[in-house]
Amino acid sequence: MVTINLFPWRQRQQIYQQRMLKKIIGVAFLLTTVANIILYGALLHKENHARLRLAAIKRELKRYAALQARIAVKTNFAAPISMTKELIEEQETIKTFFARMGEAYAAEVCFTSLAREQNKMTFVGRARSPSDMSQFFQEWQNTRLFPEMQIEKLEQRHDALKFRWQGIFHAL
Amino acid sequence: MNQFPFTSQITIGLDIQVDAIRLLQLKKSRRQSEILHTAKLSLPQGLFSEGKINDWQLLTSLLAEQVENLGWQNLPTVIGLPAHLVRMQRLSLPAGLSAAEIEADIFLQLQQEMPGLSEPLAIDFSFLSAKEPDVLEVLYTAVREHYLAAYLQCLAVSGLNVKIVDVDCYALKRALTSENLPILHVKKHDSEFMVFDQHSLIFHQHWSAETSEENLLRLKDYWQIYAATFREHPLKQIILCVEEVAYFAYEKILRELADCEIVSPALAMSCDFAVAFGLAQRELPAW
Repeated sequence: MVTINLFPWRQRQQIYQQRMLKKIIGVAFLLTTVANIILYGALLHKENHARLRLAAIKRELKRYAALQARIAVKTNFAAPISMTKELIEEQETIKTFFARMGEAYAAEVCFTSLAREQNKMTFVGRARSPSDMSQFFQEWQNTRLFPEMQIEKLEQRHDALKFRWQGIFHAL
Repeated sequence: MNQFPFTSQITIGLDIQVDAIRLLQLKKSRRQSEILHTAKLSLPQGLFSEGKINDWQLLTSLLAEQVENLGWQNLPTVIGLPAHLVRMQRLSLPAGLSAAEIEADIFLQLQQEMPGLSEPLAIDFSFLSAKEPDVLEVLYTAVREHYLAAYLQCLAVSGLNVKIVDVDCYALKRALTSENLPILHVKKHDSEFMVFDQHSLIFHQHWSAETSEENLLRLKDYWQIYAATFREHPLKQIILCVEEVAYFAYEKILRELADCEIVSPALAMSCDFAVAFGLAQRELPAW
């Protein structure tokens, strides 16, 4: 069955629809704005979080770099290498020294003490006779282990000659 | 259309007849309707003249007082115009016309039918199911704009918020039957005989009679006119909407006129409020 409405409803409906359209647009705009604000806030929060994380990472990196530098300083291989070289050289010198010491009339001369102070090495020992002592001393001078050798003390006791001399070598 | 389908809606059905104003408050929810209140206000003689309201001031004051007493100010209201004051007609138009174009065609049609018509008219139209796809079947309703404007002005001043202006015979049909049964509506001062097809009113007669004998004679005349005009649609059933005291007299005359079944209206209230009930049943627009 038809429905009749002689009230000017078409105009009213048009006005209502226009008002509804405006409302819908307004609500849509409001919702979009609210959504944008929420999104902006969320992104801002995320960005801040990321910034904080980045700053923390940078700090950690700095700390790491500083730590590495400290480790590098601690385990600085360049300086120890040279030091080791010098040590090795010194060791070599000492080895040569002891080797040569053994080569020269070891049976006729014996050392009772060896002491080192800076670039001076003090030898205390005994020899059978003054001639053995003289030969040993001469041979040692020939080895050039010490650029300078000084006899400090010679003392005849019973059947042995006690001696004390110093060998001066260049500073390491 | 109810914007909030899970809430109930209160509608006022207002039926102004020659003898009285009938107001009915209906609460409509999704599943059921409930009549909350009915009110009847007798009208003094002289308010109507030739079936039309002529003392708007008096009607406004009476109605305003009644509305105020009931506390129904600004409630959505549906009113009904008497069918004899409106012109209802079918019109076939080419499909695809806009509402403005249809209105223009209706005005043209009305001017052809009533060459001396100079008064502005208020028009509404509904679409009927057309038999051909390129044809638009329109049922239009027209009423004098001044009369409608005066009516709306009166109701607005009275405090009612009019949403729909219906035609009383459609309201009566809505209240009495869901089928397309003819209706004989006998009122105190006038009577109506109406027949519907599946879409709209196809036959309508309205008359006033001083005595019940005269009324019955007029009914016989109109019945015969219908029978002669619509031979292919003989009436087999009719709804008789009349006061209880006069029911048997009309039943008898109808049985004499034709061998048709008399159907009593299945109404929860008196036939008196049938039109107001039918009006209040209208679904309100969103605006």
